[in-house]
Formats: sequence, structure tokens, C-alpha cells
Amino acid sequence: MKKYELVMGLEVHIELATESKLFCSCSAKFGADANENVCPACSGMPGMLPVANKRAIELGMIAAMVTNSEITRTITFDKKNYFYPDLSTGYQTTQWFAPICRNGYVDIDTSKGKKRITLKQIHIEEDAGKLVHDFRTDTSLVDYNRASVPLNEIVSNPDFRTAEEVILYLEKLRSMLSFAGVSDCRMQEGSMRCDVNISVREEGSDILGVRSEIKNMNSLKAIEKAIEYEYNRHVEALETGCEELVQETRRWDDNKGETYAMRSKEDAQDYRYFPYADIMPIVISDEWIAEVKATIPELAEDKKIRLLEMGLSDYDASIICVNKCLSIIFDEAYAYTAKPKAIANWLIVDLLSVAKELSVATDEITLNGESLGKIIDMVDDGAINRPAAKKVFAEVFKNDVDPAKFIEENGLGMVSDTGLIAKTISEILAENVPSIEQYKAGNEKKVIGFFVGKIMKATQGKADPKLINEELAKQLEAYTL
Amino acid sequence: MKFAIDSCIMKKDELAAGNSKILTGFTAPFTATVVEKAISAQMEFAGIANTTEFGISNLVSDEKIDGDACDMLKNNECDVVFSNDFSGLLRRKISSVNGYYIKPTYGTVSRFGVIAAMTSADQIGVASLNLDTAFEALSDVAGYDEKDGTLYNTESYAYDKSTDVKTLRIGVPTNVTLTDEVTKTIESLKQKGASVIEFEIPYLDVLADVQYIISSAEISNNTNRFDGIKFGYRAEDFRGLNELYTKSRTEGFGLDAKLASMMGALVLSADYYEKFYNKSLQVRGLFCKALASEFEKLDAIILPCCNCEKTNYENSALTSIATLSGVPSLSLPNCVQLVANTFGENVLYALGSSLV
Repeated sequence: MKKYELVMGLEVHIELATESKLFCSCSAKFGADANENVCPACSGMPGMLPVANKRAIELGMIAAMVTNSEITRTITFDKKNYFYPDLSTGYQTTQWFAPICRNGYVDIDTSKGKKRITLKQIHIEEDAGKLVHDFRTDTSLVDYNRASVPLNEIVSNPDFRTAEEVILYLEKLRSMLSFAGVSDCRMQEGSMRCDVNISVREEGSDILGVRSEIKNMNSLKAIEKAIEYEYNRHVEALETGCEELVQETRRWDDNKGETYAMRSKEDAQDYRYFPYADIMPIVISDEWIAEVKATIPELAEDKKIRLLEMGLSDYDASIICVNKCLSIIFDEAYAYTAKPKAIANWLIVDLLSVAKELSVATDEITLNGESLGKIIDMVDDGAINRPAAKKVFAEVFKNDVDPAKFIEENGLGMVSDTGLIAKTISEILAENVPSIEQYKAGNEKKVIGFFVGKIMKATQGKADPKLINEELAKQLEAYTL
Repeated sequence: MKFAIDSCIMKKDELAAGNSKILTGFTAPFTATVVEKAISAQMEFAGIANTTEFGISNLVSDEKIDGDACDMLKNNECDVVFSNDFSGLLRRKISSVNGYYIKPTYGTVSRFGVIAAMTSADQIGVASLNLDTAFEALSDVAGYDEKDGTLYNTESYAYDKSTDVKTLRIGVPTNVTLTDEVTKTIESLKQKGASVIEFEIPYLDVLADVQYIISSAEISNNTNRFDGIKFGYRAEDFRGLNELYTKSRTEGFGLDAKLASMMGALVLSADYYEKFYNKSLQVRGLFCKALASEFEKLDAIILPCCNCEKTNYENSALTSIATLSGVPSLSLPNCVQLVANTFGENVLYALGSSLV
């Protein structure tokens, strides 16, 4: 069999983290009731004019900066014509002739070493609404909440050769863009979407094979599986001639684990792009760029350096810095108590497993960092033991409870009443005279272990071990047979 | 002062049909800025003036439009009509009632609430039988509005006619057939002390084509949203989404709107974009530049706004000078037209007054 290689390019859409939509003041937030965030402009009423959202352009500038792109100094908007009920105006506003930036790159660390993915361009455009189909009544309804929400489309060159590179690139983009505040990049909610242009050719050839574009993958796992499926389909077609490859758009069916044809090149629409005369060209000055640059929050790479300087291991720092949620919690907890290693342990060991248990996606984790800081301090001060701390932690994660209050209400605190501990010990000693005899006979280590176990059980694990040891030693020594 | 608006300008809860079946029963969900400004200037709303469908040039349809701006003015139903005359139809017709039409500089009057047609040239102007009334009304409605991003930052405009005609240099085009009325007017301006300079209007022979190509492209796009789904006219019998679109639009649009729609889709298509649409944009750019350099030695241009011996299409070249370049123009009785440089409204006002 001949050797084949994959050639892939990516089109990544991210929803920009603006308060309002691209051309009107409606809220751009996800999760409202159908058609709650809608006005005459984004529902396509005649007579409305677009007023460009300055923040969306600034977020586009930030996306340009973190991807090392060349910012276009005079940007324009254009109209892309097509009929579909989710598009209220009959055209999508996008940037065809003068996008926000061009010629960027993103470096990734693959198993075979460093690789540079080059970007063709990033452009700003508006999202479409959403159709809801009701098959029982054979009707389709449209929800314009998402209509005109600002997007960035990040278009790469066909630089990808393996699925690993694709996944690493997407993770890197997600980390960079979410840390920079450009987008929350949640694939499940659709605020990050990816189309893969894929072709297969004989290794060493410099002619591109027939291309298919795969859409509708809403997780990294799905993207990986879809690439594998398409690769096999292409190779089989090239080897056996069982199928003629045509340039087409295909949809990924996650349940069946396969792609199917949506439309071929012959059906490709002519979008008739042309300039949008209602939006005047926008000049991006040096001053504006400097102003925006100064507002970019700490990026993942810089944060990692900071965490390493605090003494965290490369492994721990990497896990925290690849995930915006973890890094925010880390900073909150650190602000409360400067114990980086303990915080990192709680985040990586406990938080991720609790989140997994409750099926919370890793990019949607929220936790009150200050509460985590309080828990860590209480463990260190001996106010609670580790099992109790885990219980409180789970409650903080689920219901954001106040740790101190929860411990008190549920009696999870350590027993540090010396009188009570002394009384418990003397009762247990009185019931176990043979063991005391063994102790006196020189079997000290074993007997102490036995008594500590008994005492812990009697106090439900809440007695301070230090106090137990002291009091037990005292009473055993004083005991006369 | 009583004002009317053309059927493409919206006033909340009034029908805003653009004289199109596709917008049957559509009432405006909000009020255009021009109407709000007129009302806050104590003007009284007098009704809606009919237009051709969306104000599109009637090249194939010969439907008679009753109750248009000229009719309303002639019948004394209002003192002024605000209208988006991107096609030049009203500027060419206003002479029939011995009226005036002032089309101000593009970016002067807010187009918020105007059903878009030729987006890159849509501009509200004022028709009136009285020149002073026209400019007074224009002063009331012109000025900055945050809802229209194409406007100049000037808060308000107060037009006056005090410019001394003796200081003005009038350009007389050598490549336009001058009507007797225009020739007479030139003589009259000369007597009043204005100087007259001959010149050639750049790109005149292709202006009608450029106007038609660019306006068709923009109209075809702006009428996309009238799809029979959310408002306006919807065909009764249809199977599936595509048939709903096709039937509603086939039945809902008139001949000229359909022609513009098809022509617009054609000139924007991948195969013809460079040849027609982009070429037109380039010519428009060259024309604007050439016209601006003519205005370095001229204060105004005089020419007919229509010529009875020519077709509507041919005459559109004369009004598209101001439409395509965005400069102001004034239509006077007897089909006489004056065109001035950007923000030259006061020059037009002074010249117009001297001729009243």
C-alpha cells in the first residue's frame, strides 16, 4: 500500500465576549428565552441602520495581536447574500475585502516537536439566528437571539498534517483567546465552532487531493473522530476506486460516527459579496492599537511562567494554564492564601474529579476561589481534617456554601476539647485492660496504634490527632495495673 | 408648516409599504429620525406621498402613480415633502408643478427609518413649491443622528441665501444639450454678475449605466429581506420553503423591482462582479475625483435635469451626477438644475433665490 498524508486547513468561529450584538444594543448573552434579545435591527425590519460595536472590533484586534497577525489599518464590512430563514435580512454582514487582520501564526508543541500553523486571516462577522424544528406539528420556528451576535472567523492555511496538530491548535487557540478575554470558547454552547477542510494525497506529492469540508463537530473528540473517518474514506476511495471523491461539504453525525454529504461544489452558492455602504470604513490608528494592547489580560504563557516562579511543577502549571476556569480559581484562592502548591493540588486532584463526577465540562467549571483558600487554611490550622475538608469542598463546588458555616452546621470541625478527649481515652483504657498489659510489657507501638484507632472511631475522626497522642501517652504512663 | 413623507419613510403605526405589494399591511414599528426632527420643529404631519415601488426608476412599468409628491404639493395638501429621491425621478418631475427639490450633501439628513434602496446614495431631500420653505424645512431635519453611521458630525445646519451671486463661478457643460430654459437662465445669471466658465462633465456618457448597475445591486440586496416569511405579503399556496420564497416574491414585486433585483444579482455574481459591479465602482470613484477637481474652479454647475426628447434612462445621467458623487443639487422650475460642491447648499440657495 502507498503511504498517504493528510492535508487540512481550519475555519474556526468564536463568539466574541461582548455585552451587546455587532450592530445593535441587544444583549449578546447565551441562554435567554427565545426572541428575548431582539430589536428591529437584528430581526431585519426595514429602515434600520447598523451601528458598529466598537468593543467587537477591539476584541478582533486582540485576537489579531495574540495570533501575531498584521492588523488591517482601514477595515470595511461587506454583505454576503443568501436566503435562509435564520438570516433576518437576507444577507450576512462580514468582512470580505478588508478583514481585521491577515498573515498571523500560532505555534504548537507536538509529539514530534514545535510546529508553526500560519493563518490566512481573521474576520469579524455576525452570527445567524437559530431554527427550532417541531416535527410533530411540522413547523419550524426561528429564534433571533443569536442573530447578529459578533463572531471572529479564524482561517488557517492548509498547514495541518495530523489530527494531533488540529487538536493542539484548537486547545492553544482556546487557551489564548479565553485568557485574553476575546471569547469564552465553549464548544458545547457553540461559542467555539470548527470546520475542517480535509484532503489526502500520496506522501511526498505537492499536488492537493480532492477536498471535503466537514462541519457540525461540537467537541474535540468529535473532531478527532471525524478526521480519522474522513482520512479512511479518502484513502479507501484512492486505493480501491470504490467511490469517486468530489469536492463537497459534509456533516459529522456523532451518533453514527460518520460523515455524510450535505452539498457538492455544483450546489455551491454564489454569495455575491459586495461593500456595505451603511458602515463607513473604520481606521485603526497606532494610538488605538496601543490602548487596546494595554488592556489585554495575562495570557496563558505568561501565567505559566509566573506559576513556575511560585514553585509549581511544570506539569501542575501547564494543567492550570490550559484552562481559563482553573486559572481564575487559582488566582482567587492565591489572593486569599499564598499557598500555591496546596491550591494546585486541590484544583488538579480534587476539583477535576468532582467536576467529572458531576459531568461538568472542564471549560465550564466555576468555584469560589476564596472559599477554597479558607478550606486550605482550616486544614493547615487543624480546624478540620482532610476527609471533612473534601466534604466541604464538594459543597462549595455544588452550592457555593460558606465553608465555616457549613462545618459548624454539620459538625465537621475538629474536637479540640482536651477534657472530652481525656474522658474518652480513660473510658477506652478501662475497657481494654489486656492491651494496657501488652503496652507495659513493651509492645508500645502496636498498642498505641490500636488505641488511636479506637479513639478516632469514638470521636468520629474529628479529634485532633496531636491532642490524642499527647493525652494517650500521658494516661498510659500514669496507668497502674 | 405641513409636511408629507414618501412611502419609503417610516412613521410609527403608519403604513410603510414603499408602494409595494410585498409590504402589504406593513405598519412601521418605529419612527424615522427625519419625521421626529420635523415634528419637534413644530411641523405638522400631513400624510404619505406615493412613489414608484421603493422609489425605483420606472423603466418597464408604466403604472401611473397617483397622489405622489407633486400631486400633494399641487393640491395644497402639504408645504413640503421629504423624499429619498435616489433615482432622480422626483427631481426630474418637480418642474411639472413649478416646484423645487433640494437634494443635500450625502451624509446630511439621517436615513434611519427609511426603507433602504440604493444604500450608497440614499439621501432625503425636500420638495416644495417655495424655495425658502424647502430650505427652511431642510434646516429643521438636517444634522447628526447617532443611529446613522454615514452622517457628518455637524450637529445642525442653518441654510442661508446671503452668498453674493457676483462672486460665483458657474460651469456650463459643453457635452450636454442645453435646453432653451437653461440657456435663458445662464443669461440671467450673467446679468446678475456671475461669471460663466465652459467645462466638460467627466464620464457623462456612462453615468446612467453606473447609476443603474450600482442601484440595482443595492436594491437586489436590500429587498432580500422581503421574503414572505415575517411580514408583508405571503403567497397562499406553496410547497416547501423555496416555493414560499419564489411565489411570494414573484407575486409581491412589480416589474421594475424584479428587473433591478435580477440585474443586481447578475452584476454581483462571481462571473460578472469584476466586469460590471466593480467596474462601476471604479468609474464612480474616478468620476467623483474628476468632479471634485472641476469644483476647484467652479462654485456650481448648471444643466437641465431632464430633456423631454430623451428617455427616462438617458435623463437619469443628468440627475445621477449628484446621486453618485453625493454633492448637493437643486431642481428648479422649467427643468433647470444646479449642482454644487459638497456642502455647497448655500450657493444653490443663493443662486436659486436670485432666479425666483
